[in-house]
Order: sequence, then structure tokens, then C-alpha cells
Amino acid sequence: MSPLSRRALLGRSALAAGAAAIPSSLLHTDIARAQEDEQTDALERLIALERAAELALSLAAEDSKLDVDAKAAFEELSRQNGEHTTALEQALDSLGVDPPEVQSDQADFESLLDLDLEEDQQDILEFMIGLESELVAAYEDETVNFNAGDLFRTAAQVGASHAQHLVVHRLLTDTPPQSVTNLPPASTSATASNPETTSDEGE
Amino acid sequence: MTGPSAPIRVSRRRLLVASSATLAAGAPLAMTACGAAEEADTSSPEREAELLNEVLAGQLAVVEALQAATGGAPKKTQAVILSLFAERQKSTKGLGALIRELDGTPTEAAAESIAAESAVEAATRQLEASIATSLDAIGELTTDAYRQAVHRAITEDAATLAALRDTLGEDPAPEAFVMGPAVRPEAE
Repeated sequence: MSPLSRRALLGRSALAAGAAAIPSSLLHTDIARAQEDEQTDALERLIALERAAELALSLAAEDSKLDVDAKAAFEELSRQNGEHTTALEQALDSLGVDPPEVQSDQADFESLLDLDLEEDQQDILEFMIGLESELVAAYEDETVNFNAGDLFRTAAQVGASHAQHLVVHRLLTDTPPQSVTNLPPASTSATASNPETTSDEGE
Repeated sequence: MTGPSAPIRVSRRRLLVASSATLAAGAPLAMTACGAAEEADTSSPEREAELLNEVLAGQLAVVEALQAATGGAPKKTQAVILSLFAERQKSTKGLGALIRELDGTPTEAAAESIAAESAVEAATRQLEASIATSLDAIGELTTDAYRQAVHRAITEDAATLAALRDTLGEDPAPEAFVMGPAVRPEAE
């Protein structure tokens, strides 16, 4: 079980010390703040990535010159990313933390500033493969920051969904790589005792 | 690329406006409330080993199914199958080592095999079953290293599942939340 974060512990400590003098409405706020820890930070990071991927796919489906199959795939995968975002926002909300507002942080979309919608389909697909690879690795990284069984399971279901998105994008390329199912390694790994479970991108 | 000139970038304002529009469409609730409080830690080394053994049995069944599917599969499909086959041979050994670390005994019995019209389809359905088993287990695992290893296996299975579904003419990514077996309209 992951330990409580220092921030969460400090929040709870302050709450206990001042509880007698604080109105209940403010206590509620402090409880919410106390729960802002690695878990909620992880959810916020994943929400930002999901929003960026959803947006990239929808913009490309709308404005880029894609063939019929790619356009349909982008629209469907964008819709699926929207479902991921909603689930993560609800998880954050259930932990007593407001989901980040869509327009609250322009940095959330920094990863899309290199998206050139006028590039050809092959280049757009390469961009999407990069985004999906980042998402697959992010879910694998962040699973160690969750404390609830539902979150472990949801992170695995969504991480697996992005692994499938990665395959869809590769299958749409002109020359799908033979290693169409290879996944990027997690950037941080708790699997040191099981190094054989990792594989290389190899592309 | 479209030429030597600088690419037309997506403006920040456009990104934000489009994002608001797409999010406003909403999406069905797909997650149960995980609760504000952390779940009680009811784990024990025995339970962790038991959960890992369930995952291992699913993986052993996948290895058997993939082995059976390599023979008659087209070259493109064979490459996909062999890639996961090699990965699962390694990961089953890795899971066995983790189980022994917990003083458990790694199972040698594969989960029940699934019959289908072709060996490739059987491997596809076996992958779906393996994912479902691993998802059940990951919800209970409490050790980061074990959870991350199972998470990795689920994503690898899901990627291969997508590629095999494609060779069967099925939608490779039919749903936003990978559950194992896909909800297929014709089956309802």
C-alpha cells in the first residue's frame, strides 16, 4: 500500500490541531485539500493527457486530409478518450477534489503545439502514435500512485485502451511495422524485481 | 510535410475552444465511485500469491493458445502472435519468481482453454479471458511492483488482442474501457 503523501499528512495534521475552532463548512474544505496527494496529482496529469489526445484526434478528424478509414478511427478514438476523461474527472471528484477546469491551464495543451493539421496522413499518424505511446507509459507509471482498487482496475482498463489505440494508428500507417503491438516502456518502473516484463519500442 | 514553409500551427485559443466543445458532449459514466477514503488493507502475502497465480494461469493458457495458433496463421498474424508468445514466456517466468518471493508455489496449470472455429480466434478469446482475470486481480493487489507487472501484462494482451481482432475482421478497439470480452451487438 502506498504511504500517504507528506502533503496529505500535513493537511490532516493541521485539520486535527484546529478542528475545535473551525466552522464545519471550512472543515469540509480542509478535508478535500487533505486528499490532494499523489493519487489526485496522478489523476490530474492523466486528465490533461486525455484532454490533449481527445482534442488532437477531433481536430485532425475535422481538418486534416485523412482517408475514410482514418477519419472514422480518429472520431471513434476521440470519443473514447472523452469517456476516459469523464471517468477520471468523476474519480477525482469522488476524492473531494474539483477536476481541473478545461481552460485553466494552457500548458495542458503544450504537447499539441507541434501538431500540424496540414501535414499528410502519415505524419499525422506518427504524431498520434507519439501521443498514444505517452499515454500508455503514463498509465503504467501512475498506477503506483493510486490507493483504491477501483482506480487500479480503471487505470489498467484505460491504459489497455490506449495500447489498442496505438495498434489502430500503426495499422493505418502506409507500412505497419512488424512489431505493431510493441509498447513503450514505463518511464518509472516499480517492476525492478521483474525486469523481464518490459519490452522495447523498437521502432 | 506540406513544403518548406513553417507549418500552420494550431493556435492555443482554438485548442481551448475546441476542447470545450468536445468535452461538453459528455460521456457515459464508466467508473464506479472509488470513494474518498482509502480502502482497508486486507492483503497478505498468501493472498497476493494467490492473485498472481490466477494471473499466471491465464497467461499459461494464452501461451498454449498462441502456440496452437502459430501454425496455420498468415505471416502478418504470425509476427503478432510470436511477439506476445515470446513476451509471455518471459513474463510467466517473472510471475513465477514473484510468487516464490511470497513463499508461494507457481501454478503449472493453465486456465481453462477456450474453443473457437479457428486457432487464431481461440487465441483471441483466450486473450480476452486473460485480461478479465488480470483485471479482477489487479483490483486487489496492493504491492506496487506486482500491480505494475500485471498492469503491463494487461496492456500487452490488449495490444495483441487488437491486432488479432483486426486479422479476424473485427473492430480492434471497440470500447473505451477494455474489459476482456468485448460487448458484441450481434451477441445480444
